[in-house]
Amino acid sequence: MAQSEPASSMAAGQPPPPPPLLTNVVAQNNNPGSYDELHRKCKDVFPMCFEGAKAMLQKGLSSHFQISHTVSISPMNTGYRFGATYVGTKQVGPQESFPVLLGDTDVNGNTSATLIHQFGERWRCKVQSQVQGGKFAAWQGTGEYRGRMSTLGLTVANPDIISESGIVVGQYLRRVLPQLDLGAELVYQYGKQVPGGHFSMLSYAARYNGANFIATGTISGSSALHLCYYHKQTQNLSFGVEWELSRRGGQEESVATFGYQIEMPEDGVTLRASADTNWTVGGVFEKRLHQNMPFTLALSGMLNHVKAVGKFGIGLIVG
Amino acid sequence: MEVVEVIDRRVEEELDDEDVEETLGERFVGLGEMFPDWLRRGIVTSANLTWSLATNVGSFAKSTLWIVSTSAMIMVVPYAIEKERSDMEKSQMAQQRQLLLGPSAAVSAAKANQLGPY
Repeated sequence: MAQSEPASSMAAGQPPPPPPLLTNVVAQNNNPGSYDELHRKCKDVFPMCFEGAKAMLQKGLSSHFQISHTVSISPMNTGYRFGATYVGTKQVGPQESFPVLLGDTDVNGNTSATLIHQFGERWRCKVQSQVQGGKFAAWQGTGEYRGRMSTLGLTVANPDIISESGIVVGQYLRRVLPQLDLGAELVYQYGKQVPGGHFSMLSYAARYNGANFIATGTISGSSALHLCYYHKQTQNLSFGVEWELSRRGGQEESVATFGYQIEMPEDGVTLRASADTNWTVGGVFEKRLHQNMPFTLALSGMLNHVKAVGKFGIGLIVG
Repeated sequence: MEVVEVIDRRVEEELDDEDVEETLGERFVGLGEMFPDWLRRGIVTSANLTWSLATNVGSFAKSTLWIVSTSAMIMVVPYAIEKERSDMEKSQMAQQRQLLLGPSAAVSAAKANQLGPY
């Protein structure tokens, strides 16, 4: 949001300079990135609608340490959350430093924490855990190897030795052509609550990185299909189209969503909006209230035409 | 009573237009009989069809208008307003510069902002 664009590319009438609009997608050493983030570029275009009111205060205590206070009032959850972020001193990329420690807690002690660290140049690990009601509700660990052309990931989630249950996920993503990434994921779940004791699902994924667009697709077994298309029209305008098809228990569900994101960086204005085939439209509008002061106002609106339900939210972000 | 008897008698013999008592409406309906049956049925059907088509189109247009306008309020209007405000601010700045520093400054300011002279 805080990109400082030269004013010349803001021309309404002039075509923008033929841009390498998506430079950040092709990572420096041809690494295709993580499997989980295949669809992220497209997902980022869609608005994160919220309901009710929220206020957020972010404060950097030093260049490595940041805390945030969030107060939210909404029918879903009303309360206060405190978050802390520590970013370490090991610089890997222009935007990446490790280790990263994230913590988030509310008044009742429901806490989630994440630790991400990169060992050497190629190995990355991530540990996440969640405490709810004084008990470990969930935790998972991920090890990732980021090679020259491929990423290999192994995730273990909620392993329980006593009751013998857990989820293991293996992921592989490889850059086959300069523009084309292919990947596969195997999810294996075991435990007593799983019918038959075991369950596994194989997914395939593909991503095509065009000059100003990214097309991604995932097929999970024979039950789900997920296609995304992301298009960057100009520096400040991008579109996303998503199609999700899933079949569960003989019931087919298909949702297509169109969304776009438009920005005015010099005014600190961002609008994300989406419309889908369930007749839901949503939009989140963010505006920096003053150029030199860190106040951002966020307005959220969501409307379902079939159910005639509207949800609106207002938020203030300081920092 | 007498009149009715008279009419009855007349009906038995032959109807005479001038003596039959009927309202204007009845006369009007009766006029329709000069058209053949199939034509009248056709006209009625097409009139019904036109009416239902008109009401359907009307309700469709109504809901379309509602959906489009409410969706636009969420999806487009905030940006449009902000864009308008920003453009106006820029042109005001250019104008101010022109007043303060003369036309050449305004032109250079406008160039910097990528706007027209005003």
